[in-house]
Amino acid sequence: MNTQNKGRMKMNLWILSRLISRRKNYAFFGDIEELYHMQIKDRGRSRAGLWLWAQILRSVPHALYDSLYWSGVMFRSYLKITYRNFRRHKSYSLINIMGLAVGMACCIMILSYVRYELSYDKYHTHADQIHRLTMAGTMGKMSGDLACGNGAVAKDLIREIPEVRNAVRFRYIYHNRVRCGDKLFFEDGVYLADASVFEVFSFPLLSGDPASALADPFNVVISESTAQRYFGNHDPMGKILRFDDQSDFHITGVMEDIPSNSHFTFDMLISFSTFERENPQLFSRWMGDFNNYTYLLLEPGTDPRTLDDRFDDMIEKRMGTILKAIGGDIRFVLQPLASIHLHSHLNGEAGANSHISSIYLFSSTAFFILLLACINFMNLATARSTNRAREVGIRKIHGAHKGKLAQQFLGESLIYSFVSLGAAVILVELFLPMFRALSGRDIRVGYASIPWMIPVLIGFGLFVGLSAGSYPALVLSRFKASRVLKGIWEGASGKGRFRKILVTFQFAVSIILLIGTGVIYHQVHFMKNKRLGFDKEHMLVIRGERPDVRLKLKPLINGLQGIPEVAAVSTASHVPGWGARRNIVLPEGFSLDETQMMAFTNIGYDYLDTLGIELKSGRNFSPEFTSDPQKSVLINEAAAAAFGWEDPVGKNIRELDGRSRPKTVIGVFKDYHFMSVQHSIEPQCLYCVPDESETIVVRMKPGAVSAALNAVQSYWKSMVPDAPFDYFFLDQSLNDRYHEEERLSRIVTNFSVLAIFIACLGLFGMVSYAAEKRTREIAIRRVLGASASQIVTLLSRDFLQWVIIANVIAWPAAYFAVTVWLRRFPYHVRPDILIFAGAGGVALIIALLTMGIKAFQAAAADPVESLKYE
Amino acid sequence: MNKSLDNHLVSSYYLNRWREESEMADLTRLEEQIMLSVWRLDGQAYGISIYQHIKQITKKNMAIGGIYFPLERLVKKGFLEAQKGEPTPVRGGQSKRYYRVTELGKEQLFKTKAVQEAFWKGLPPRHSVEGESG
Repeated sequence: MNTQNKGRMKMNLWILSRLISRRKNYAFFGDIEELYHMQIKDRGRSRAGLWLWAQILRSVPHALYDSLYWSGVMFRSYLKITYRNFRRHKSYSLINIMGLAVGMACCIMILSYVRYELSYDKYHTHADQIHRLTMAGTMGKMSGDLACGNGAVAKDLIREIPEVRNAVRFRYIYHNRVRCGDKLFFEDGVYLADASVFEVFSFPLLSGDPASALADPFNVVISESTAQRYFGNHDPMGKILRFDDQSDFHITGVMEDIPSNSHFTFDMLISFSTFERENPQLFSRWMGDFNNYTYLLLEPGTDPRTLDDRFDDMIEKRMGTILKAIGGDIRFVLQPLASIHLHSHLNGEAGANSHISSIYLFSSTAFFILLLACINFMNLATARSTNRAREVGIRKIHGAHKGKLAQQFLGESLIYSFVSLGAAVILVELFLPMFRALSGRDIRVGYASIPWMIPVLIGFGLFVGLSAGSYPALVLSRFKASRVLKGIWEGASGKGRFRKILVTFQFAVSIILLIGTGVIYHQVHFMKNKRLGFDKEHMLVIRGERPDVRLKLKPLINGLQGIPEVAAVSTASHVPGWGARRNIVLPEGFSLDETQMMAFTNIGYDYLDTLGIELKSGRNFSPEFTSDPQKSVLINEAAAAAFGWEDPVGKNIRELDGRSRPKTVIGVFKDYHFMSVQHSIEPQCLYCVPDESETIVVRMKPGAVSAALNAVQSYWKSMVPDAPFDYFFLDQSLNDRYHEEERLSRIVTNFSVLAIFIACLGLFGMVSYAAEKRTREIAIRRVLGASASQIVTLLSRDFLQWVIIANVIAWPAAYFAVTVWLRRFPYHVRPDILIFAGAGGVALIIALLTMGIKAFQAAAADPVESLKYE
Repeated sequence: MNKSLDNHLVSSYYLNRWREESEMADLTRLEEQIMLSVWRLDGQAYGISIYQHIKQITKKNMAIGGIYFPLERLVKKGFLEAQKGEPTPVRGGQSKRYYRVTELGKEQLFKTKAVQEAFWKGLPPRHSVEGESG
């Protein structure tokens, strides 16, 4: 009986003893057992058992309250101490909070940027099933990957491969002049698109039927803001837009504006059938006309790699003989829609894509800046540790053990971290518009709209608080009370070295960022100022792809040449920087299995002279040779080199488009950059097409630009009054090609300045601490006759040495990083030693200034005051 | 020398501040009842006797934990002092803990009583209230 009792007792009390220490609360356990025995006597065993359970259950809240009560008391004490410390060391605390806040704000902004970049094209419902069909492979000796392809492929794929559920083709339309009533706009964002576009992609229609909106020829769907532009608040449905004063399009739908996180954007979509019906020959076979973007919607769960074999079979069936004849080998490559923005850099991309390496660059910058701020925190906190050693000693005497103290200091750093987080959120709010402009991205932080944002921020605060506070907490809580209170500080030198290593690391990171800034800037400068092989200054380009301009082209050019401020005039299908048409050719002496890829530009007479492109051998196109437009071509040196022609003049080239006859090379011109400098110069071929008016290039005489512009404009108006005078300057449009790089350089500049700032905050804190600790020493030295500069040297020497070591570490690391980045550019600068030296020098000077200010203050202080104070 | 004196001054300053702050805090009704019971039980005050005394007067059923934890809190605050008693088999071999009110505790009780009386001062006794209403 008794043993059974004991068993039950044990079970009850065992549970209780899990919650409350039995050893410490022996009286409580004893009381309970005694009361239980009384209950057994009074009421019998079973009811006593119930009573015991009830007692235990009802006691637990009291025990909980008790422990909360005491931690509440301690918490209040910690808060109080934190607050007092803050007030006593204002500058130190502000440095800490500011550094952390800036670091966190940078981190939040950069991470929002990264999140935005990763969000591209993911908003489509079927995003993971949509793939872009691209071409890879070789034709002859040339190789190249194309983002766009032939327009006949899509329909054949739907028909023959069951996994391909649907497909959409897009095709870019250049230079559109759109009129509606008295409103006239030039539209740049116009694509042809298949009717299935609204089924495959999730571009919501505000009005119109998604299934039929683009079904018929001469239908157009416009974006909301475009509709606003033409019609204000009136309903645009069923209205007519007139393109190039030729053809009328019915508005059959209004779509929401395309989100900015799309790899290509457009304002208008025209039904693909409009074009297909008029040019059926382009859609009858798989060769030629690689100008269509094809997007496939695969059945859910289809692994795109399983389609490769069938693609190969179909290519073999349709292009096999011709490929074999010209020695080409073409594959289709499917790109997942969401990966295009960061991973695809093919020829003929629809827009400028970002590079995944920028994402890595930014993420690591964010990480390092945060790391710098955390290091600052650790540094300053441990540097201050001697000041708080006494507090630690007293707490230990009063019974605080190591764990409690570590908890206290961690708690303190958590408070700092959350205060900084608050400040960081304010900073982000203040600087986000600036960052948006800087990055050119529509970045939002979205505290409310993104559900995980707030937990992430809190986690962020916890992470920073814990990681920054962990080292001080460990160091401070280890102090031995007896020694500390006797005034013995232990191991100051060893910890000093650790702090210096951290400062060194901070400076190394800052220097790396500075070098990065310098090299990016250098590269952009290089690309903007590289000798391009033609003159870009004073070059006016007028768009004139209109029948009325074309009809009057000859008198127009003659008249423009007659203007005294104008030096030369010509025409071209593509001006430099605007790319070129591509096709395969068969140069003389090559067999059909050795065809070559070439870029084509149609030019008028005088094009080479107008742009200042040098002719190397042979002759230029000339009106005197009436057969030039039909029989002659010019090629560049790259082409001559690619074909292995020592003397190209007189050789034949045939473009394989099914219609062209072989043409004779009459001259070779020096390579010029017809693409932007990010691309290498490919073999290029110039056709003489003097009656084409796509762009008219006018070289003005230097010093008379505005007069020339006025004269050209008024002459234009008198000749072709209906045609708009739509022009741009060549140098400007070329500089626009380097937006991404310039953007990058601006962002990196800003963040490296911030990194330096944070590192300097840390340095400032360290030096002021060192000066404070040595107040008495400095005063005595002053009294004994040391000069202010000697004192400054004394205080700075140590730190300077570490900043110099930081350079030694930073240079190789930075060299490695920038060489990797530069490799993206076919024409790039060599990392310049001056940039490295400059970055090191700047870091050194900033460090010197920071230290100088503080050290000088210490040196200039009245020694009498200092000695009295001590 | 100087430094250790300094240390002593600092620590006694904080201890006094802490005392003052805890004295300034009013006793709760339960704490007052517990301390008065301990005083009355004079030397015989341990968990169960206090528990039964309070239960008897207030006629309220309460958990033993509701007495024990406040008791220990009052000890930490310096209003009570505790002494370990003899272990008995009926207590599972665990000792009793006898409590006694300290001088500080008594002072605090008088203060509480004075406050109480000051509030009651000038108010009519119970029978006169009943007389007025009926």
